[in-house]
Amino acid sequence: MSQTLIALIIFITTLIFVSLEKINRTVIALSGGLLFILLKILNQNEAFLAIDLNTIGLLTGMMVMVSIIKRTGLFQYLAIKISKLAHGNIFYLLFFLSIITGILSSILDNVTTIILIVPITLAICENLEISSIPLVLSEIFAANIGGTATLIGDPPNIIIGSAAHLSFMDFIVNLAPFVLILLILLPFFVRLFYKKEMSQNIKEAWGRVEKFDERKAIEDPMLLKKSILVFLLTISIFIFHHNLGLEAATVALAGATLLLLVSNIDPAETFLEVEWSTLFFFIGLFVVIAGVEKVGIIQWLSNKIITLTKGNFTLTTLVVLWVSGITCSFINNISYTISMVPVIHNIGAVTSFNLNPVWWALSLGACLGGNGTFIAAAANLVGVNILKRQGRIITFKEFFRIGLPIMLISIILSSIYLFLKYLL
Amino acid sequence: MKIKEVMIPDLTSVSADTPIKEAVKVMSRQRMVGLPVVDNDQNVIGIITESDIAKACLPGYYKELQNPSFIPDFDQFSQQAKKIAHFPVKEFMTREVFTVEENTSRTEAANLLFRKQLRIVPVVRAGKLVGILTPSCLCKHAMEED
Repeated sequence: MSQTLIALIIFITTLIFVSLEKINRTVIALSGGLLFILLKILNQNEAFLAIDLNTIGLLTGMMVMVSIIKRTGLFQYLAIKISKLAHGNIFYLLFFLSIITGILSSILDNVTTIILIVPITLAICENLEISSIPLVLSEIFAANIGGTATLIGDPPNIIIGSAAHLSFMDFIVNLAPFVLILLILLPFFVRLFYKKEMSQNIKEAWGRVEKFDERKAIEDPMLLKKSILVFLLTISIFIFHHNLGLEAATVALAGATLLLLVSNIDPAETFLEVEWSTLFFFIGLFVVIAGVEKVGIIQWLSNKIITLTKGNFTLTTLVVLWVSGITCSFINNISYTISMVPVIHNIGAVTSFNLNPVWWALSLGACLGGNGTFIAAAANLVGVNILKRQGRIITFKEFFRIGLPIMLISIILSSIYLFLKYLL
Repeated sequence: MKIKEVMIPDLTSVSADTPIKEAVKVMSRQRMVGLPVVDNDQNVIGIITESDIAKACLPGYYKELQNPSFIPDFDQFSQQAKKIAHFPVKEFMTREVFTVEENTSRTEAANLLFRKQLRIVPVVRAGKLVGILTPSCLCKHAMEED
């Protein structure tokens, strides 16, 4: 059997098993990566060099920072505070909770955002005696949309930023305004699917929510002050990191180290909360893709895309957007993005395209595709599982009924946005 | 020394169909942190503890919240407590119950209690309830023996 065929089989098997989630995805990715080394398609040195330490460092730094800031209760405080702005209007409640979820998700990872926001939503809904399903679903969609806005919001962006040398500000300038529009439109769209639930009168029960004391959610005011200072400092450095000649991982790890220093929290305790499993999932995938790239599959795929789109830049960008959106509705967007990075690099190498719009297309497709089905993104599964523990079952079909149109509309709007901004 | 010399020979127990409200009354009256659940033949089939009942009284979202102290009133807890008051014990009891045979050594029983952090363990003879063992039983005897 040729090396190319072996590589293709390992690659496709890895992608399928990662998406099926029957076996732990990290074990699958590491097995795929190891097979490339054991079968001598890659040597160990090539495999190690394939691991993008900028991505791993950025993820680790953000995980450490978030695990410390989470302890302060800041995110719960913000969620309760903003919910109160609804003043007894159920649609406003949906709107504000979705917006805060989207905003938090642009600085936290999507799963953490859902774990923090959904329980607050459940508390509010139980007190108001209303169904939590429309609100939680809207929050899940908002988390996936909001994560698209920044370099640190969603793993595909971290991968893209590192691979394409796009800075924090590049993401803010090119994606954040459009993502904000999507976020604002989202609650209106969710309302169309839950007209009955959205017409409930919650004015009488609202007093119970008004009584929520958000200040009590703050667990450690001193740590909160320190955390806010370090976080703001880190974001400020992120804004200028390219001008300062600093890679994103350096900024995130510096922020994490400074926060560990000023908070006086035992690093061993914090490191327990770092998602090592996710980090090794990335490591395995980087090696798998390096193997696939070495045997020429990536180059073949890039050439195929260029041939199919007849070298038309607009078409290439839109194909990347739509293929990413639809594919990432069914397969894991991290493995997809890591696979697509060398494909896009290759497209750049054989054409004279300015690749930036293609990177934005990949980011929008990979992140927004996560709303298509509930297996598409980890945040979806986590949100749906929290509801399940409360005895509220959301079936694949129910999620799909709302998620797919939301994904399609957001990809259509992204096509229009990309076309008007970069391709016209 | 065997556990039968240390245990409390108390046969207070409930059946799986006893309402939670009754179980709480018995616990409170007998000042027990948990009750063995037995079948008609006095075989131990589970255990229901204060902690099982307290958890059942919490609204589901409490377990998901990082810190529920922002919720000011007791309403949700009371509502849930009222809701489960008439549910049978079997809904909330621990079925895979740790028990000790009456002839078990103190060391072995102490190991079980402290390693699993149990506050009450039914003592059995061929599966049938003959008493209960708590960490304080073991400590009390250890302190008093010559």
